Amino acid sequence: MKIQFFQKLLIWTITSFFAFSAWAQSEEDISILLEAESFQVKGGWLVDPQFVEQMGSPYLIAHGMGKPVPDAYTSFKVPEKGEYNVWVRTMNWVPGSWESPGSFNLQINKNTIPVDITSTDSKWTWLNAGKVKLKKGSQTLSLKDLTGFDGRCDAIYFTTSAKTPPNDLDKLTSWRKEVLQLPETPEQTEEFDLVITGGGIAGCAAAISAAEQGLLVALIHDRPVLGGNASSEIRVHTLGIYGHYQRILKMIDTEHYPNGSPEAKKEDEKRLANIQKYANIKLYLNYRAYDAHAENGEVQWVDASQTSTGERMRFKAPLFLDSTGDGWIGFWSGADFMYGRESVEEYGEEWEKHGELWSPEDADGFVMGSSVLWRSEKLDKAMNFPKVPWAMEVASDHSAANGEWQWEFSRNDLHQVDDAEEIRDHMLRAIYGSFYNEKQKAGNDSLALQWVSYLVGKRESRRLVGDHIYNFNDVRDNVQFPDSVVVEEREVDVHFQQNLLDPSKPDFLSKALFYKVGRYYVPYRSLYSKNINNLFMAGRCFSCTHIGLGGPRVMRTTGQMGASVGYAASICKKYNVSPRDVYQKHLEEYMQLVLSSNEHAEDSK
Amino acid sequence: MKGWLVSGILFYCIFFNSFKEPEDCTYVFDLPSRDEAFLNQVYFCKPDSGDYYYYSVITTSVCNDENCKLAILKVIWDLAGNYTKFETLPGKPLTKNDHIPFTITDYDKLHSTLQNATSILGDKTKDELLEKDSLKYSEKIDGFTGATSKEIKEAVVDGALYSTYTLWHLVNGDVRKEIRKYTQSTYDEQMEAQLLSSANPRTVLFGLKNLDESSYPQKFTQLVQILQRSNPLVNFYITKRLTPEIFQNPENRAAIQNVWESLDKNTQSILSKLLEKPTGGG
Repeated sequence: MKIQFFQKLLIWTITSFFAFSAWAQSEEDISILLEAESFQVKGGWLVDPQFVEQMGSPYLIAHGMGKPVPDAYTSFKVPEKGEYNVWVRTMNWVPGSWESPGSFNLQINKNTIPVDITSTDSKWTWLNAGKVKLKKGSQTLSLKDLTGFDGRCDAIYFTTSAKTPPNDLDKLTSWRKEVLQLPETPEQTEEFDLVITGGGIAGCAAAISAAEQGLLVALIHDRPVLGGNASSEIRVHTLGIYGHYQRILKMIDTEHYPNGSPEAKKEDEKRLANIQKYANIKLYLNYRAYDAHAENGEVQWVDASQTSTGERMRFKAPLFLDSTGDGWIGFWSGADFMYGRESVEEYGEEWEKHGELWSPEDADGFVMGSSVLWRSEKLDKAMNFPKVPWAMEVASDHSAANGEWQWEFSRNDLHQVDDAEEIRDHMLRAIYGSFYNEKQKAGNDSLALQWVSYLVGKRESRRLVGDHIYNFNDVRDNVQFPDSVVVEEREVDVHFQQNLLDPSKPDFLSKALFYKVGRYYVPYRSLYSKNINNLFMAGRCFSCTHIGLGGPRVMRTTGQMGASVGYAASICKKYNVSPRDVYQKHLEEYMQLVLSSNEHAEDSK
Repeated sequence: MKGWLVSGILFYCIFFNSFKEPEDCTYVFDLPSRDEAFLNQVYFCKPDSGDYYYYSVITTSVCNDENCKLAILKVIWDLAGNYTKFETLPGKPLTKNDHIPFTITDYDKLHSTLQNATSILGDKTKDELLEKDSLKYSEKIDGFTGATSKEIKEAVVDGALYSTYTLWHLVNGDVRKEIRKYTQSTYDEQMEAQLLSSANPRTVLFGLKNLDESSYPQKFTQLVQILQRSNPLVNFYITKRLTPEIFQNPENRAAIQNVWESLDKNTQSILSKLLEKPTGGG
């Protein structure tokens, strides 16, 4: 058995020069940086790369749903014996007058450092865990979870220096590069016909349709499983119709089980097996894109790193698809994008019945929220669940045994991308607190949490601007376009927080406003960037308004977007033209390809 | 039994006696019944004391598949065109499909349905009220959708489906836009004060939409009173327009702190960020 192991463990020395007046002298410090996500054994800790752009790195989280998780550990080498300052980069996800729910210990060679790692800061910071004497040679470092309630650790830093490592994110990023001695460009470069970032339903559909047309495709996804919101890690079932792409979408969609169902696992297997049938889809699971670069209005490459090892790859291609959901590739490459709710006047999206709730007089950031789904089960024995005083401010007296789509959080002052960790953590407090209340009811002794997601299932975030911005009028008037590549019948479905109408409701529950309208169509021109000439987008980051997103945001519909983009990419390759040229010069051939999707031979497998 | 009697007397007082005949009213427009068989005159009233209002004595046909009857009702709207209350006319009770007069409970139900401007009745055509598949439970899980007969049944007076439906559409239909248009054409300070102090959040929102943001600093005390009544959607409209500069005034900061406990959580979270922001050393 070949074990791939890349230890991102760095031992290096820094020569610091202290130039204090006339008696300048040099002193050699020894430092060791251990990235938690690169630990050899993760135990029960999970790699969480969701918030890299906000806090700087993937990290380990002890998501034990109230039961301390098994230790994570790694070996590391100490070049010189000595007394080292120990720094741990962590955060307190619920600071307050209670015992922190996320405490953990460090152990070196099974000896516990007698400091509970409990930051008082709700921001990611380096916490000093005192000093330890380390012998020269190989040592073992363990993370010992104390609570099971989502303690988190980004990195551990041993140093003989007295300096505090940087907390400011920009400085930390530079410092990390220096410490890890990372070259400016990734170690490896691969070239493709089409680079797809984001392996949700849209990205998977695009990979298949492009691959069937003979393109060499990279499919980069930051999780171990494909499917995004439909995966077993988030567990939202796929809604919407198949449009022209039933054959492709059936390979990657889900049955209509309840949201949160473990049946999502078998759909993961189906999806992966179907993607793997295509020899020309090169799959990069557990790779998260961290940068994209454009020159002269064209994306040149996407850089991604392995979420545990940190190994970096550069992906080059003439064409790129942003199916990240958050529009990251567009964001990095300078594509125009939109975020928030447009004013009612901007696109004329009024629905008088619901007024401000539907479309506000002034634009704002009160978009549809993110969900964290969860469920519990009754076992054949009594199950304890600890008190969670830190959760009650959010949960209050609400009680529940599971959380469906309505478990959703948005607030005008929170950004669904920038504040995603706070949003996730708010939902965790809602879940644990509501479950605790449920446990207090008679007959619930044997009730236990079965599954709580730790991933935020986003509905709405950045939307990249295309040649057409899909909006409510397109839906309301059932506009048929010459380039209608997506068709949907499901109601426009826009969510709002329940407590906007009734202050007695918890702030973590939503409601839906439905606008029933019959068939509506999304044009291809909403699926490529207006100002980045080789960038497609599919999924919730397609070109639309907040209200325009309400209908096509569900996953069979976003899958339709992906499938249509894959075909467009094949036309681009065939004629060496841009996505816009497909509409302007090759529309007939393109639409023929789209409309005959169900008949295409799968000869690329 | 005693409770029933008391509420019965109260209802009688409210619905049959309390509304005085208008003294200072002006005809403003016609409100046609849905079948356009009747043109009902809408009046705008400015009583010497008490709130301004609009009213119309509505006559409308109410038809099911087999026959029609007349319903006659006096309806009152506020300055934002939002339904306020109704009165029956002497000798003209509303009746159910089988000609039995409405009970007090039925009138209560009608009143609460008419108050609900987003009732499911607004989404339905008359033909859809009894649609064959209306009993189907929606399978769409990212939100429940589709009218069920249960939902409609819950929204209407028992045994008076078409009466409730017809009256809801008449009372909550185009009349609102017409009333708003007229209110805006004669807008004055008293109207503004009345709109902003309304107990109906939709009416307050209409008042706020007619209030220039630049007057927020002068009207801050009044805005705080609105915030205190805790309708989060209305409060959100206000807090979106509050700037950190308003809180440079220590009196304004204090005014918010004084009502803090009565604010809803959403409003608190938005305000707390505004209050934290540097106030330019003020």
